[in-house]
Amino acid sequence: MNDRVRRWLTEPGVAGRLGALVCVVAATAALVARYPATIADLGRTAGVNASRSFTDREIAGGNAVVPDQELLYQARARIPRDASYHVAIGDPHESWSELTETYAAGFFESFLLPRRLALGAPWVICLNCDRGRYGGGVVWENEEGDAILVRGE
Amino acid sequence: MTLRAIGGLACLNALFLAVGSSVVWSLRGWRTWRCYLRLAGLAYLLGVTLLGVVWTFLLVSGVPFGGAAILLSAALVCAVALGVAIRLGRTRPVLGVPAVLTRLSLFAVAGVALAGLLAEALFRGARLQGLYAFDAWAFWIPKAEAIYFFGGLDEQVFTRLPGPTYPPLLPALDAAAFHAMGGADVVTLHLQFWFLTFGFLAAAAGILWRHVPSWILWPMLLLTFVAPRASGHLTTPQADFLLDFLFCTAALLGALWVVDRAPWRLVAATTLLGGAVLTKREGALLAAILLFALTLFTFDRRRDAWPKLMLAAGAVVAAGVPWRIWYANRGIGGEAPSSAALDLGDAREALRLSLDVFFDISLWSIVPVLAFASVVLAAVWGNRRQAVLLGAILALILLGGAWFTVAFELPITADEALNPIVRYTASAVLLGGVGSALLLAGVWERCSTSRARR
Amino acid sequence: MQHLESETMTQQRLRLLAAGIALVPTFGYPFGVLALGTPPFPTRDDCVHVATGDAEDLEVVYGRLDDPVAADELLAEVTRIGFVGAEVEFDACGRWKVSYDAVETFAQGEALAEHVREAGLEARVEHER
Repeated sequence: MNDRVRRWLTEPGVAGRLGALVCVVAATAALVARYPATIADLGRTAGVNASRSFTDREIAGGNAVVPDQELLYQARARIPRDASYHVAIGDPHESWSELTETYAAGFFESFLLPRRLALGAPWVICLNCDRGRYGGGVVWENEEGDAILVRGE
Repeated sequence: MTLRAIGGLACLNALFLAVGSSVVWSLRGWRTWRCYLRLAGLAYLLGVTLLGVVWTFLLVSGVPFGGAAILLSAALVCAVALGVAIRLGRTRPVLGVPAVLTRLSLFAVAGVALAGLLAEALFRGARLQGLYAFDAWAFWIPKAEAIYFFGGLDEQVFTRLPGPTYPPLLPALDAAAFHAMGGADVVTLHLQFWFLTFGFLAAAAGILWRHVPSWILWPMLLLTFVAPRASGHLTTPQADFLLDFLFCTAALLGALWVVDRAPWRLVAATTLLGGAVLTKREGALLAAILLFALTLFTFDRRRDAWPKLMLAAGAVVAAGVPWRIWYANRGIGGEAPSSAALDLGDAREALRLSLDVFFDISLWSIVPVLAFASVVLAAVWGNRRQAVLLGAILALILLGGAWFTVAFELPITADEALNPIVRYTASAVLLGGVGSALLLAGVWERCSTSRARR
Repeated sequence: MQHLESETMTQQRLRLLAAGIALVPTFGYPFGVLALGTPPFPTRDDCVHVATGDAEDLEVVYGRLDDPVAADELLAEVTRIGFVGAEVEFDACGRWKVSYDAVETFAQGEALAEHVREAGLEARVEHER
């Protein structure tokens, strides 16, 4: 142990300084471990984000909720911006996730703004619903029983 | 997703910086441009907060929210701040003498470089990020879109979506971002949260720059930002981290205020707490904790400090009142705890959960351990007042987490879908991370002084 | 005097070192990323992959539209003037394309596209991916 270190260790306040030093060294060591991993993680995230399709990126969380991406875009294209719509949820279909029944209406509300979600609205987004209840016509439908309806008089 | 949208966001954030810069000029003046650079992050956060508060008031008052309201309100705040600055004869920044570098300055340069690189990586990660976070697509973003599309607090959207009592500061900021981007681009919106993160990083570094040696400052600061739970969620378009940023900056200013008593620090902290109250409901709890702790630890000079703190508390409460009136008038309640009686068994379990979450290394790396160690070290060898103040704030935050788990009858779990305790605890971790730099600097300085004295 | 000069030298050396420490990561990282490719700015045209030669996934695309009703109308028009077998399909960019995919070679596709263009509509041979 050289003189300088020995002097440093015997001067008053050494315990506090040593404690602070240990904390900073520990923080630096943790930083050395975490920092490159964080940069790499963020790079990977950027890569995954860039590789997504336009619709996957735009719908994002809705991919786990709404069974058909086209249904969302059909609704956005066909329901006028100043119109209102109702989301009718029927019996679960095999194409649904466990989130569909509970959260689909909420996602439609988020995705379709400024169109308004409202009970009794003229437009009905039907997820495998009982279409007879709404009368009117089918504007669009897919093979899984999802449809966009216009309510009858 | 376009360059135009990114450019629009950059302009909006430059507006925040301009507003905040004029406010800081009115509060304390700018001595040199280096001083401006140091406090630009704080100025930016103050700009965000002040405009957020003003926009919330405009929305609650029913003023149509669009490009004109955004620009006029910013111009008004700027004009008032500049008027005050001129009237008080605040100094304008001058070039100043060039900095003299020492070998230790290289730590600062390395810290800034690593922070810059981290910011670049966060930008890359956020630029094309889809909207995955549940709370973000379920209510934060729809509320922002409603303000953007309908020009105000649309009753249907704001009263029926989840969290109807959640304040509208963040949706207002997001709506302003949509206006700046030229559309409701929820992908590029993630970059707004990058700006907020970068603003907080700059604010924390700038506030501590003259109080903490760079070799202590940067490891603590950077580690806080790269903690697993932080780095993965900083740019998520939810209010959690914005609240944490405002609260932590206010707490740092408060911790310095109890030592140097500079009035501008308390004014800036009060402004940030006003913003925190309008960012999330937890903001009221965090603001109360900070103001209570400041009151407690200024007992020895209560004649001078307490009236100022009373005024600060009044301002913070006043910031939250208009929004409260808005939703109460529409028959919305349910923000009070569901259970008045306190079950001791549940309370013990909830406190254990709160501590478990705080000390969870898989979430926060060793930041909380270092925060705890710093408080102990500083209480023994450093600035005791700051140590006990920050320690008390951290303890009260953790108790607060336990309290809301019991009071709102939330399950004793860290599962974020069932209990928001992880998101809430981030405020303690962030404050622990940046606050421990201040405490360790105090320890180092005092122990070195005692060595020099001998 | 000599002391001042050596101090200036040290300052200059420290400034150079500081500039190096600051600039290498700050610019090294973005240049490193740019070296791997320019950053993407996604548009709805990302789903358009124009064909230039033979491949297994060729199709003739008559149009891509934001409105499914307009896409149905284009399909009806294409069919009415004699180009049967086309269909409307939703693409991964949120648009509806009217296309004919029973194309085996690029030359065959180009010939069909030429006929369609002569009839006053647009058409292009693309990859279906």
